[in-house]
Amino acid sequence: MSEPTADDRRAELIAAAAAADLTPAETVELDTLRAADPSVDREIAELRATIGELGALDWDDSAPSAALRERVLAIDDAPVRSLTPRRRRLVGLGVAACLLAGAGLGAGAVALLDPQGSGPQPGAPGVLGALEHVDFEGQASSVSIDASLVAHTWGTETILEIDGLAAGDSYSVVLVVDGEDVDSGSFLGSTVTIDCRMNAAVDRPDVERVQIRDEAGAVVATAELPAVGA
Amino acid sequence: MGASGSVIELARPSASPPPEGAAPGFDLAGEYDAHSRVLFAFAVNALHDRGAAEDCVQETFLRAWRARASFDPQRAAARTWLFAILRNVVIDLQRSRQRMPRVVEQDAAPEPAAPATEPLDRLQVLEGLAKLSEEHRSAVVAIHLSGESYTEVAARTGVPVATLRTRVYYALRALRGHIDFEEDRHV
Repeated sequence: MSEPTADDRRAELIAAAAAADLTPAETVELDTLRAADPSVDREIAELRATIGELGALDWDDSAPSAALRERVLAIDDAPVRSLTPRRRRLVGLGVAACLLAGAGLGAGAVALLDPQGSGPQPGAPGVLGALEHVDFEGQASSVSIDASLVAHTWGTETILEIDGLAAGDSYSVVLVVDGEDVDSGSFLGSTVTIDCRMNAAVDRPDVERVQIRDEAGAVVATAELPAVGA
Repeated sequence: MGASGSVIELARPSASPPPEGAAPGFDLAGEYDAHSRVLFAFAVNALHDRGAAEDCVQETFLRAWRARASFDPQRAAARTWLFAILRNVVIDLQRSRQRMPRVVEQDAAPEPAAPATEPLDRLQVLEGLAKLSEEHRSAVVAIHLSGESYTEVAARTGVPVATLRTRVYYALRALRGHIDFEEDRHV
């Protein structure tokens, strides 16, 4: 092992000061050091601030299970179709539109970033991570809804691009499971295109239909979903 | 001496480089072996749920695999890219959990709980800790989270006090750098 350098000793003393772990002799040594180097006090303060940001953590240092590796390596590389211009616009511009129209989104709306185009790509219903286009029916002719679902391990994500709903009115997105409603969030109608993503803690294969409802609970539009695996 | 090795673990070259002229690839097994431990550490400490954390890591690799054609190692290291995906997956899951109604007896209704979603700065701290090398992180955890003294940790691990101190020094500086970088990125 190499001999400790002056920088090593400086680092030691600063770390010890931040932890209030100095011996009396080290306190004298540190006082000498800080008299010659004003940055020492600033560094001690910075370290203490960082320690403060750690807060109370019970750090779990365990490793993932061996089964996870098998699950990841078994990820099915199903053939991926090329995105049509329409779908590319929905996926690629979704975040920007959501941000522009952010003030109109309800608390349940979730804007997801799409790092380096890591968004979902088209796939069969129920395939984890794949984009499943769904058709809504029943809406007024002035209302345009472009919608997709993404099956996740923890639930179902609904991606909506909507024009024509009354600005300022509240709407909710509901997933119907075995005849029961599962709320997936709400949003406000807007004069600009609404582009948002919502999530519900229900598995995609269990979802029978997706509905958009108005504030009174009346159905604005419904998308009947194909049975997964059928 | 004490600061031996990288404080922030760099992405290990986990797979052979693609042959000249070949499309840049994403070696699923290689990237999993190189990064799964640190990704899982972030997820499990953010969610406090091993099953959910494993699901998030699986989801991250699924999204990465499906988008591998768009991955450009010249733009970002695989670890950076995977963390960007995982961060969104974890936030997404936390928000989903927040919206789940809980049915309880009226009399048993608890006081309003703290938000289930980890504030972004909290996630940044967890991510910074997860990215530290094991020896640097374990020193910080022992001294500043578990409350052990340097002398106690040295006796338990056999690592000299001086080495532990320098590890903590460089680890906290790296953590500060990570937090400041992420804060600047979100301004």
